[in-house]
Amino acid sequence: MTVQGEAKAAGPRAGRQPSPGAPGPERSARTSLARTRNRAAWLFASPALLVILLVTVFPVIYSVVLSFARVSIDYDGFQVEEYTLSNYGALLQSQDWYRALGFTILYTVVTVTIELVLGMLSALVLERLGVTRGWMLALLLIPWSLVTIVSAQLWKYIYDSTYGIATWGIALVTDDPPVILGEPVSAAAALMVADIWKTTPFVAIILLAGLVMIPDEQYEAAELDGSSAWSTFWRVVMPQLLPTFTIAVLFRVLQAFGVFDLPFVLTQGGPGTSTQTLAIMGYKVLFQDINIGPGAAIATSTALIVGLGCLLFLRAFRNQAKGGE
Amino acid sequence: MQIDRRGLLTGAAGLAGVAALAGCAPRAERTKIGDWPTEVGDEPVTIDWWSANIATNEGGDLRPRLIEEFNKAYPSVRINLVAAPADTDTNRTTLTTQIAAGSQSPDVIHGDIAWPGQFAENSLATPLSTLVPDDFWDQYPEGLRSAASVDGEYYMFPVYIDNSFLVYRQDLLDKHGFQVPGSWEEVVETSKALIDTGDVDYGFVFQGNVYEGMTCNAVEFVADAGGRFTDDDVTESTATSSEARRGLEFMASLVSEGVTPRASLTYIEQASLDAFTTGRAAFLRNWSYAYDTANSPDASSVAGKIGIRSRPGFDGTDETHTTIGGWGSYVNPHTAHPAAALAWARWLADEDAQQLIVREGGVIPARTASLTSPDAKAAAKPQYEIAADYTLVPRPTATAFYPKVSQGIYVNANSIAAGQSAVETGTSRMQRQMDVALAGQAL
Repeated sequence: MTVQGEAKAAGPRAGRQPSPGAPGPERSARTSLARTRNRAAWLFASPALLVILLVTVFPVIYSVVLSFARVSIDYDGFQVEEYTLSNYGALLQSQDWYRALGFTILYTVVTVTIELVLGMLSALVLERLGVTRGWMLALLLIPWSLVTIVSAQLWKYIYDSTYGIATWGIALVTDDPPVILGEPVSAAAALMVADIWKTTPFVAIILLAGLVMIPDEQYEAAELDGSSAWSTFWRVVMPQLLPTFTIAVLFRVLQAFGVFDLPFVLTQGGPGTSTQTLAIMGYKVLFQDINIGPGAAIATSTALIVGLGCLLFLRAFRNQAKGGE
Repeated sequence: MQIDRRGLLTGAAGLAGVAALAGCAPRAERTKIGDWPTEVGDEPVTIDWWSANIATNEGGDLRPRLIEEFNKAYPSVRINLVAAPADTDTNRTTLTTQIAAGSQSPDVIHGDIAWPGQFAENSLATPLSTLVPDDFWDQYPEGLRSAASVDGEYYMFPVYIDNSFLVYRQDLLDKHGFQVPGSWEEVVETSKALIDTGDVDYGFVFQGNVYEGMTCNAVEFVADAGGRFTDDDVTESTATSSEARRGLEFMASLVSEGVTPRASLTYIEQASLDAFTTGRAAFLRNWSYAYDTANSPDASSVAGKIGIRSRPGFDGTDETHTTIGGWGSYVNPHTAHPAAALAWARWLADEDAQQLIVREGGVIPARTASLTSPDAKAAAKPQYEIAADYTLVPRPTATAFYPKVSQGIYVNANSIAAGQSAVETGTSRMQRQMDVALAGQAL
């Protein structure tokens, strides 16, 4: 991404070509200047690019390489014994992997959907707030600004089966203290609640940024035309908000699909393997079982699936956005 | 030289490729472990010791005391204590990639007795046979020696063993005129009666979360019923045997009959101890330190009101069972200070440290002679007396795939205890998953 960005930044100047009929010496001077500028741009960008290369590109490539490798570890370090497709074969034959994939998709769809609805409602309210908007924004940002491991630990206390306030509250109503993190359905719901609590403000702020860009005149015009609030929202606000909306969805899908910290603290993927996400499974296979090839295959396939999902989503939304124009 | 985008990207890809190949390539050969120096010199040296807390008999931290005593014998070796996660799985996971990648630190690892199989298979621990005399190992009990070794090669210096015990509320038994239960059936009966009095919320609590502790509990209940989870060679699962089913069925009945709260299926050691020390539970299954902590007024509201006995068996049997828990020292094969690392790891397993553990520790020393020494008699710990009569039941750790085998046990045992799986289907699934794991085919 950044490489392209840098190229674009350098592009207009570097790509400025002399007109075909320009005299020789001037043309040569301009080309030389363009080259110098081009070179300088790449030179200045190269330290940052090198860092990105080392911390992002290399690990990604290496992970893909390992996903095709049978790796053994001995006293002299890592050894790749052979390159094979068997890691992916093992994945496709593993019920745990399908279960983790299913749970990850469910988790992503449910949390992102609810966060978008709540985030949109919050953004609409925030947009109408006057002087208190700044304060409300600051308050809203508290959950988002907490480190997830810390907030997950707080939720763990809330859900605790012996002392948790949620357990106590439910027991007041049902007279039977639940074991929230000990049952598959309630454990999954508990994870989703913690995620939604933390991330809704993020969605709200992105959508708010989109909302304030919509000119007031358009609302006034809609009002003059006798449009109801409901109809204004769907016909005026949503079409213009679609690009911002798409960004919010993409960010959230990417994050939710790779969720690790919440289930790691709250359930470790349990009870059983019912809340095991692909990231938790990859961690267990790679680090607990030291099964490097299959672990890398889980990581690579997860990236591939979420990448494809996002591409499909972008395509669908681009068409829809065009249709709305 | 012209630096354009294409050139830079090509170069970058090349560099990444070279780096990837370099990562795959074997490293230069190092000093052979057999050639390691074993004598510590006078040069000051600092080694990193990766260790979670080791409890004192008052619930404190024994690690600084051990370091202090060691430095009297080895003043030139400075021990830098690196605090490790208390949870055994998190602890191991944090370590494995670090050592597998060739890190020189930590030099010495205080690790679980369940690790030798996996550590040997992946070269994460130093084989010790050539570094210490053969008769060194004679000072430990047979069960511990076999747990510390794989195919006749030792990988761990034993530091302490741990047994599980039944801790109970003596005051409540006295108040309501009950005897200390002599069997599981009596634990159930007494628990129900005590819950009915309203003095406790829970009867019996144990560690039922989806983790290694559940495997320990499941192994014990199955042993109580006369069974094992694998054959003797640890090559095949026997989880569908009638004994295994009976043990797990009893565990599930504890929950379904309300003797054990469902919350217990989310407990790890500390959570179960909390339920007991705050007075909510009448009986607790936990490791040796739990009795000391529950009896310490600083940490417990039931201090001075409790008793301890072996985990009971079922009606009609006198034999009592505990899994072998415990921790020992592993030496990082990549250590830059082999002599100092070896000296520290060995010292922890030898007489001086073991006697210190007897005098001040909240755990059971690994050395047989220390357990019966005058210091041990003077300490007058009930755990030591009970330990002498226990039948030790090993977990099926003697396989390189133990973490996956254990996962097959604890995931399904949790599911059976929670009533989510019937015993028949749960044990069938357990057997299938264990067999796949034992064959090295589990993902």
